[in-house]
Amino acid sequence: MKSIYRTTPESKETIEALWKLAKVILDTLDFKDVVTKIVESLLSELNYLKLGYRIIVLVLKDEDDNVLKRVSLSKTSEAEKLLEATTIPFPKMDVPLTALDNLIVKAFNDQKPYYTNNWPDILTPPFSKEESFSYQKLVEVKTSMVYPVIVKGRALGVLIFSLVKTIDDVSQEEKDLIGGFTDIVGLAVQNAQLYTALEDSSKKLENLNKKLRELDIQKDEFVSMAAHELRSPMTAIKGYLSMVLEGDMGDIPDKARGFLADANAINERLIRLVNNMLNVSRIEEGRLVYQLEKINLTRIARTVFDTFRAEADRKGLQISIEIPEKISDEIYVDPDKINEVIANLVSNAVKYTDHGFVKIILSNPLPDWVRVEVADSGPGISKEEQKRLFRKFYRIESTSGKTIGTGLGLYICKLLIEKFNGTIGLDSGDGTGSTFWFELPLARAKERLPESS
Amino acid sequence: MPDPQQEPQKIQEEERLEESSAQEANQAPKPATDAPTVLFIEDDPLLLKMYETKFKSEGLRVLAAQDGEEGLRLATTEKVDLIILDLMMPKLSGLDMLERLRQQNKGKSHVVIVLTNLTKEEEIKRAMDLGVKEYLVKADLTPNEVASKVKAYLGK
Repeated sequence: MKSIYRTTPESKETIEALWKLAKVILDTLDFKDVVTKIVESLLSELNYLKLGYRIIVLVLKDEDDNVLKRVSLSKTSEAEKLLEATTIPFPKMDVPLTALDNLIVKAFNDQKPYYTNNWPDILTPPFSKEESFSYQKLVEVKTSMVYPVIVKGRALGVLIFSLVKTIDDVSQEEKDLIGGFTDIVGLAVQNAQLYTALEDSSKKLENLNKKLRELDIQKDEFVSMAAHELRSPMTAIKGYLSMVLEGDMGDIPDKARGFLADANAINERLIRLVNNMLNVSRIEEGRLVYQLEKINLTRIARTVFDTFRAEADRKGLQISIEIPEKISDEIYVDPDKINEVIANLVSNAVKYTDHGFVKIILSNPLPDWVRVEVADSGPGISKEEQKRLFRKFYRIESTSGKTIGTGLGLYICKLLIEKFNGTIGLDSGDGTGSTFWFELPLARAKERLPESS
Repeated sequence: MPDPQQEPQKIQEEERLEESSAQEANQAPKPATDAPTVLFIEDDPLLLKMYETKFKSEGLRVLAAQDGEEGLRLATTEKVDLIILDLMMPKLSGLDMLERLRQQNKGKSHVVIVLTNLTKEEEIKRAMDLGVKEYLVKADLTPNEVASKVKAYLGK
């Protein structure tokens, strides 16, 4: 066994021939196509059959098994004869990397080409020496050259060229070409391997995605079923309590009425929680249907103000609404949803304020924007808590004991205001009351812009 | 599969139920024989009992069915002024039942109110397409509020 001297291709013909091979091989990315083209192209495109080349085999390292695997074989009559004779099928003719005497392993490890006149050098293992010699005789091969396939200094495998002529009859041009050819093979194999890996992972991702979509549908079903199942008993509790409280069963003692009213309030909280959970999942998934229309924000604010007046009065709070005379307030929204937002802010303000006032203030901070503020003289909210306030399931700790909310109200407000291209926020310091506010673009601002979403 | 021979017995039971509740309902105004009839299609017996009690005390006649098939049968064979329909029910879902009802000549003009705890956009849309007057969420309303809405449709 001797090393074959290797040079860079020099002649114009060699460069052209290599260009042709590169085009054929690099044209495809599918691994099976690539490895077939590698062993066929030299014979079919450049007619190396005439030059005495009979069998070309591509061997690649199997990353998992630490063996060199024969992956493809040229379709010549000699190759077919060989396949009929061998006792081991071609895909199983592995060479373990520990077989250091095997020329395939040697070329791979040394990253140098070798040649041999004796087939046991390349076929043992897996075959015995006798078998190897008999196969060589059968196909009348005189020489086999083993070239490492190298990319960026890393050997991927080897190419074996078996010829019916001696090494002395291999011209310098052939050697140049084969040297250049193995470089192309290296690139092609690497590309194909990367491509296959990419395809594998994108297939895996696709499957995962499909599973996630299925899970998402199941989750929707689950939320909807759970909500339904929870609502039925709550409906019965609410129904019977309301019937007793409304006097359907005649007068009841005040103390009992108080207890029942408390029970009713707690049940209402459960109903709100389920409703809010359903709302959140609908808004988040974009399934909520909005009834958009042009409407004056002042009107919505006044409706909410009227709704909460009695409750604020009962608590001894001064509730007021301030609307500048020349306000621009026409917005393009779902009025019910904006009503929900303002009601939520006012309800919180009334709930957490024991003395003083609750004010609803409208203004135009910018020509194309309208702002609603809900200010109160309550305990205020620390900077730390302000940051987390609009998050899902967050509830203010500093006022615990009073918190009977669902922890979803402000989160829903934020989702809704952002849905209508607005912003929501809060100004507060400890002990100085809080001002919750949101700003929405006026309808005319949208009309002036070209239609976007 | 329901045994067809059991059907008459079931009706008798219902009649008995109505009789007994009418007898004990001395404190509540007795529904007049010409009182408007509401067909309640509701599979939850507890809720059915609750609404039935309330509606009878409001002077309405109540027919009850606990699944879609029974509801469809009563809607087509009895004199019914208004149908209150739950959606999630055994045998035949509320909306499937309504679709079948609407396919019959007699069933096109029935006044139907959906009363359910299911709030899926698709269901609401399908209900509205089937000519439902209102889509009410049980948990958001007291029996009194439901009764008021029903009476408004009955012109009372």
